[in-house]
Amino acid sequence: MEKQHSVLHNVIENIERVVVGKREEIELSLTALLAKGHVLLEDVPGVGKTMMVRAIARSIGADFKRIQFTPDLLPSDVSGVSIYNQKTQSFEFRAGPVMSNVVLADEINRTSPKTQSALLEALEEGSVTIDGQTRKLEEPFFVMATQNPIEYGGTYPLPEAQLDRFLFKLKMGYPSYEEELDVLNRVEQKHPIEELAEVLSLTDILEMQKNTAGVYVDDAVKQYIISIVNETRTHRDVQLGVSPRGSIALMKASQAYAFLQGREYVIPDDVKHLSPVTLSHRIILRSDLQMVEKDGEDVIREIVSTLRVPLSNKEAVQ
Amino acid sequence: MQTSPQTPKLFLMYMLGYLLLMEWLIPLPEITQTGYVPVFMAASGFFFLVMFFQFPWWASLLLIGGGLLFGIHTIFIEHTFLSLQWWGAFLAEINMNLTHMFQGEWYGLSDLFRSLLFLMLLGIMSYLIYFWIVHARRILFFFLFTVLYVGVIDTFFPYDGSSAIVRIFILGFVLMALLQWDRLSGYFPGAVKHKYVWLRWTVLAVIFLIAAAGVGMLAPKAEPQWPDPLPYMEAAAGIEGTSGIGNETVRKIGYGDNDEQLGGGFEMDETPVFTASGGEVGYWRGDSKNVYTGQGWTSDTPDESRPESDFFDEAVPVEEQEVDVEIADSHAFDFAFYPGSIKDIQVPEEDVRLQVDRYSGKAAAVADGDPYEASSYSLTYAYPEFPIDAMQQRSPQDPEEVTNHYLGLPEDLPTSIGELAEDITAEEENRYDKVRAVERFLNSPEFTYDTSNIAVPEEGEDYVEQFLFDTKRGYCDNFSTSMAVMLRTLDIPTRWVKGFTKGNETRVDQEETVYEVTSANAHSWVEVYFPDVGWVPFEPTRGFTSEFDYTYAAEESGNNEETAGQTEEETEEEEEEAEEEETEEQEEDSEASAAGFSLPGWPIYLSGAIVFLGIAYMLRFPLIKRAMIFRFRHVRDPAAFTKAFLSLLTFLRYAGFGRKNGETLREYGMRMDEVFETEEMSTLVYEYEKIHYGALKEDGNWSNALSIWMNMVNRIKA
Repeated sequence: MEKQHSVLHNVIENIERVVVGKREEIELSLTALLAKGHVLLEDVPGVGKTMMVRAIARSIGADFKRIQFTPDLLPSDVSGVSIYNQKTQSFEFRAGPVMSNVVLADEINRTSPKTQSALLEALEEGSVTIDGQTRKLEEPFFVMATQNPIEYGGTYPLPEAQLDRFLFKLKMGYPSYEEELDVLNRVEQKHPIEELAEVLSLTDILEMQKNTAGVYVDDAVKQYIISIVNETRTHRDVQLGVSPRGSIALMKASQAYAFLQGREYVIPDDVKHLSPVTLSHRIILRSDLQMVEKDGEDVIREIVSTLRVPLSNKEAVQ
Repeated sequence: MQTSPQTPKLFLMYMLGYLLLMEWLIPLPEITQTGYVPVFMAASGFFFLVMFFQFPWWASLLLIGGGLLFGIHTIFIEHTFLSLQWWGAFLAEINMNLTHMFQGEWYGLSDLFRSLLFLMLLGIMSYLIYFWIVHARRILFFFLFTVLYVGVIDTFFPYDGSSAIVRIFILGFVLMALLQWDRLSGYFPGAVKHKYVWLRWTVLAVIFLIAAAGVGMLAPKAEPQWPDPLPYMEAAAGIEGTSGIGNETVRKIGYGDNDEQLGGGFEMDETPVFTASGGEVGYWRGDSKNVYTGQGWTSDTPDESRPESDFFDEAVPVEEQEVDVEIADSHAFDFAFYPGSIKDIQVPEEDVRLQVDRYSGKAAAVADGDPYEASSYSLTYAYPEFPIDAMQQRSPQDPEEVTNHYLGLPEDLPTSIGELAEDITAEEENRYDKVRAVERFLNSPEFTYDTSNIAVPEEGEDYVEQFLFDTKRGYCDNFSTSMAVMLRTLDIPTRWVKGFTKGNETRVDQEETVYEVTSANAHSWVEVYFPDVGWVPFEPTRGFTSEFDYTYAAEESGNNEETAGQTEEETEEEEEEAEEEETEEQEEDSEASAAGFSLPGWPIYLSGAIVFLGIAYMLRFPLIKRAMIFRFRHVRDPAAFTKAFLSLLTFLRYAGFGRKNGETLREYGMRMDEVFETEEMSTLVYEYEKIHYGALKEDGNWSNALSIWMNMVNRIKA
C-alpha cells in the first residue's frame, strides 16, 4: 500500500513534467482511473487536455488512441468494423480506436448522437457490440472526453442522462503567468512528452484498481455522502437531484482518492473534496437559474459548505 | 403581521415590559388622589396576559372588556357583578358622565368614569407594549420616558424615586439586552443553533446590570451640580414665594420670627436645634403672637417684662422642675425655649437675669441690660396640671387687658368662619367645652395633615378661610391659626404660640431624660385664656397628641374621677402610640440616611457573591483547562481519547472557535493550527480520524497523543 502510494506519487510527478500547474486535475484523473471511471473535460481548446491524457497513458505504459469527433464520424469509426477479406473469404474485424487502454475522445459534442452512443456504451458496459457480436474491452479502460463549451453551432450537447456515465467533469482553465512561462520554456526546443518515461505497468494499475475497492468506508462517511446527495434532491435551485448512481460514484471516487493519498479509509474530506466534480453534472438546475451566473458546481459547493460533517457514526445516526 | 410563536423568552420580555409600565402606576397614590392602585395593576396584568396569548380579536375584546368591568366592579359597585342592578348602576353612571362630557363639563366626570378611562388606557398600553416588544422589537423610547417620568416625579413631588430608578434601570436594560439578542438572531439567522443561548446572554446581562447597579448604589455620590431645580426655576421665572404647582412654596420648617405670611409647604429638616436633659417636659414654648392679619400673625402688645412668667393663676397646681438646655452650634437665640411656665434661668459663668415678656411670654436671659445669646442654660419651670372643672366655669369675666389684646380680628374676616365656629360649638355651654369642640373639629378626619403642596392664600384671600373651606390640608400653622381665629369669633381670647414639640427622647434613665429637638420639631399651637386659670394650651393639629395635662380636681365626685382617669390614660396611650409611630418613622429615616455609611448585611454578601462570580468568570479558561487535564490525565485507549478530543472541541467552541458547519475535522484542525500557531490540532484530528473513519481498533501511542492533547488544551486562551 505504502509502496503503491509512492509509485502513484511518481506517476503524478512524471505527468507534471509535461503538464504544468495542473496537479489537481492530474490527481483527479488518476483517481478516476483507479475508480474505473471516466472523465469529461470541459474547456476551451489548447489548454493541455490532450497533453495530459497522453502523459497519463505514457506514464502507465498504456496504448493511447485519440478520436477526433466530427459531424460525419460514424459509430463504426469509433468501435471498429468487420471487413470482408477477399483472400480468406471471411469477415475480418478491424478494431476501432475505442479498443485501447486510454482513449481521448476529443470534442465529443461535435458528432451525432448515434456515434456518441457508441462511445457511451463502451464507457458504461466496458464492451462494444459490433455486428451483433459483443466484444469486451481491454482492462484498464480509461476515457477522457472533452467538450468545448463555447461553440454551440453544429453541436449535439450530451443529454443530461448520459453525462453521468462520466465519473468526473473537470475544467482545466488557463495557466497562470508563471505557469505559462514555464510551459514556453519547456517546449522551446523539444516537447517533453517525447521522452516521458513509463513508471507503471498496466498490471500495476489493475492491482491498484483492485486494492482501491478495498478501501474502508465508515458508515459515518456513507451517511455523509447520503446527506449530501439528499440535500441536492431538496435544494431549492435544483430541478433534478443526484441519483443513487451518483452516491455510488461519489463513494467509489472517494475510495480512489483516499487510496491515492495513501490512506486505507475514506475521510469526509475526500467526499467533500470530490463532491463538486462528481455531482455537478448529475444535477439539473432549475431552468430560470441557467441565466444566472450559477452552475452545478456552485450549488454543490454551497451544499457541502453548509452541511454539518459527522464526527462519528454515532453522531450521524442522531 | 404574522403571529409570533409564544415562547418563554417572549413571555419574559413582555412581562419585563409590564413591570416597566407598573413603574408608572406606583407613584400615583403619592402624587395624585388615585386609590386602588393594586386593582389597576392587576387589571393591566390581566390585559397583558390576554394580549400575550393573541386570542382571536373577538375573544381578546371580550376578555379585556370583562377585565375592565370587573376592575370597575371591584372598586366602585357593590351589587353582584353583572347583575341587573349592577348594570343599572353602571349604565346610569356612564350616561351621566357622557352627558357631562358632551357638555364640556370635565370637572363633573365621576371617579368611576375616570377609572374606566384609565383602565382603557392601560388596555391600550398593553397592546402598545406588545407591539413594541414583539413586532418592533424596540423599547428604548418607553424605557427613556419611564426614566424621565420617574425623574420628574421625584423632583417635583414628594415621591422618592431612588429605588424605582434602580428597578427601571435593571428592567429596562435586561429588556433591551433580550430585544437586542432577538434582533441579532434575526439579522443572522442560523448563526446560533443552540436553543437556550439567549438565556446565557440574559443571565450575563442581569449579572452585569446588578453589579453595575450595586456599584452605583454603593458608590459615593457627588452633590447635585444643579441644586433643586425648583427654586432655580422660580428665580428664573421671577416668581417669589410661589411656584407653579398648587401655588406652593417649599421652605424649610424651623423656627422663624416672621409669621406675617403663612402657608406653603415645607421640607422636613432634621438638623438639631437643641438638646435638653432633665425631667418631664412638654412643648417648648418660644413666643406667641396676638394679632391675626388674615395672612398671618403679628404682635402689637406693649413691651412690658416681668422677672418670671405668670401664665397661670395660683389655683393651678404646678410642679417645679429643672432642665438643662444645650443649643446646637448651628443655632443661636437671644431668648429661651421653655416648657410650662418659666421661673428662673441660669447661664454658666454669666450673671444673668430672667426677663419674660408679659404679653407674649417670650423669655430672655438678660445680662447687663441686653438679651444674652446663651449656648447653654438651666431652666426652672412650673409644669402645670390644668383643672378642667375650673375651666368649665360658666359666664367667665375676662380682664380688660386680655380682651384688649387677644380678641382682635381683621375687619374683613369672612363671616363664614364665625358661622362655622357657631355651628361647631352650638351645643356646648361653657368655654372649655367650646374650645374642646373646636379642637375636636380640627382633629377630625375631614382635615389632612400634610407638609407639602400646601396653598398660600392669594391677595385678599383669608388664610383660615382657605384652609377651613377650600384646601382642608395643612400643617400646624393652619390648624392652630384656624383654632385661634375661630375661638376669637366666639369672643374667647386666644393667642398663637410657636415653639417646638418636646423632641425625641434619645436617652431615658432613672434620673433624667435627654431630648433632642430638631428643626422638624418646630410647631405652633393655641393658648386660650380662662379666668381664674390663665393661659391654657391646646393642640388642634391633626396627628399630634396633646402633651398638656388637664385634670379634674381631686375633690370632685368619683364619677368625674373615673372620667379623669380615663382621659388621662387615653391620652397617655395615644401618646405612646404616637411616640412609637414617631420613633419608627425616625428609625426608618435614619436607616435611609445612613444607608451610605453603615452597610446593611445583604449588599456585602451580594457584592461578595458578584465579585466571586466575576473572578470565577474571569478565570474560567484556566479553571476549565485544569479540570479537563485532570479529567483526562489517564488516556489509554481510543474511547478515552475520543472523549478527550470531543471535550476539546466543546472547549474550543466555548472559547469562540467552534467548528463551522460544512467544515470537516481536517479543515477545522488546520484552521485551529493556524489560530494557535501549532500543528497539534491536525495531529489530534488524524488520530481521531483513524479511530472513527478508519475503524482503527489496535492501540496506538496514546501517551504521545495525550501530551499533544494537553499542549493543545493549554494553548487555548493562553
